Amino acid sequence: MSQKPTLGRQIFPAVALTVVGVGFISLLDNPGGNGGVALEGAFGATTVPMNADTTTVLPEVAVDPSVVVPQTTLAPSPLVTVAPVVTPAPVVAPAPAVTAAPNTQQATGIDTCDGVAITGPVASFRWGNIQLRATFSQKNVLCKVKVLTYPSDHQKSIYINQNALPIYNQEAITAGGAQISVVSGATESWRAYTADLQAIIDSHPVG
Amino acid sequence: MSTETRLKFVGKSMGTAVSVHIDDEVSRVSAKSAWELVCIFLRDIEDRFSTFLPTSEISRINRGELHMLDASPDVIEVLDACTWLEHASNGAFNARRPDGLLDPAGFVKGWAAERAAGLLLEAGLQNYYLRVGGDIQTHGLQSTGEKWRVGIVDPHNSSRIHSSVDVPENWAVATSGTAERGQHIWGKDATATSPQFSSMTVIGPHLMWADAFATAGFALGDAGIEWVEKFPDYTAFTLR
Repeated sequence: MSQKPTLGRQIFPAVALTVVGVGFISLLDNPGGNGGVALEGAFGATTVPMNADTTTVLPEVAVDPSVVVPQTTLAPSPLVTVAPVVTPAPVVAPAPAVTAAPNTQQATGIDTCDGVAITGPVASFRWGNIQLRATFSQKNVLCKVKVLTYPSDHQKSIYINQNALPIYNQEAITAGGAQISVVSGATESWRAYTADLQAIIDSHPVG
Repeated sequence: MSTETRLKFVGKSMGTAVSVHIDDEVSRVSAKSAWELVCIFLRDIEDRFSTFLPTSEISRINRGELHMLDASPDVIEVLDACTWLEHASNGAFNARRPDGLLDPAGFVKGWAAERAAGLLLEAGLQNYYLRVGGDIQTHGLQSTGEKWRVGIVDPHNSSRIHSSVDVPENWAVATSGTAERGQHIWGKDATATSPQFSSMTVIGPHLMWADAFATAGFALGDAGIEWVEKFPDYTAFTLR
């Protein structure tokens, strides 16, 4: 086998991060009557039952942009299935979940990435502990995710944080866009291919 | 790189589309000759493995005209790997149809695609991908210096990309899903379980294994992800 780091172990924390992220986004949806941030539009309505008594309000903390995973979008939780060892709700739900007070500033015309920052609980996974902080824009769109804690003894996890993290997109990506170089799906017949996204990519003259 | 043009070739093999995209700075002539090597190779594989061709080695084995061990080394290698997979997946992967006839098509596609991609390397190419059906073997990087970015099709809407993965250099991506059920997933659990997902994508260094693990992992249903992750370097994720 290859000498490269084990991707299984690389991607696992990434998927786990996604789940944790979705988990505490879910907390946001139901912040115990604390002036919730409406996220349904951006993330789909997901709710994790949570005891309001365990919510702690912390001041907003500046996010270090150098470690941030740029523009990562988390998937709506119903769309992502994770290995059975990951149990998103039980891990996230038993707080002390730490959340910041929702930013009450009026949104201006320009949507800047300096809104509410939320720190998730430390979650323990097979490869170690993971903690995330998500930053929202003034219009409450998730704009940054920072990994606060990750298993540093696993070189692979760092690699994941930078590169191998699957990007779960909210919006459909048009196949003609230069972003996607190739498409993977369950095997299609030659006939199906002619109406396939890959056929569009193949016939696109450049890119 | 000075050119942004990507050389692209499309063909038909094993009942599906074969695409090769080359991001090296090579002449169209040398890229085309590498592509022709791929086509010749895949045609040869089809001739020897297809159950639709009565003259193929597999058909002759099924009719009792050829003993498995007298088959060509490639056929023996494939059947050997299929036997191993059947045991490793506790029967979820099976190269025999319910009627007992051999049909290793579910393994051959990924195996042949990886071999074909190796021919491009032998032809001197460094940055390319080869795709057979929805299974992809990459090599090197895009001409932009970025990793190959693979879009994963939404299993419920094939005209939509659900998510995308930047593939580590030289790695492969394969997806199995409900769309291919009944085609070559006959595992003993395939009809019994109703997995909580509609497609499984496996990433790893070799397409032959990524494809085989996706097929077996999908047939294993909910236990599939954990099963795939037992294999070093291979990882699975599923879409509902």
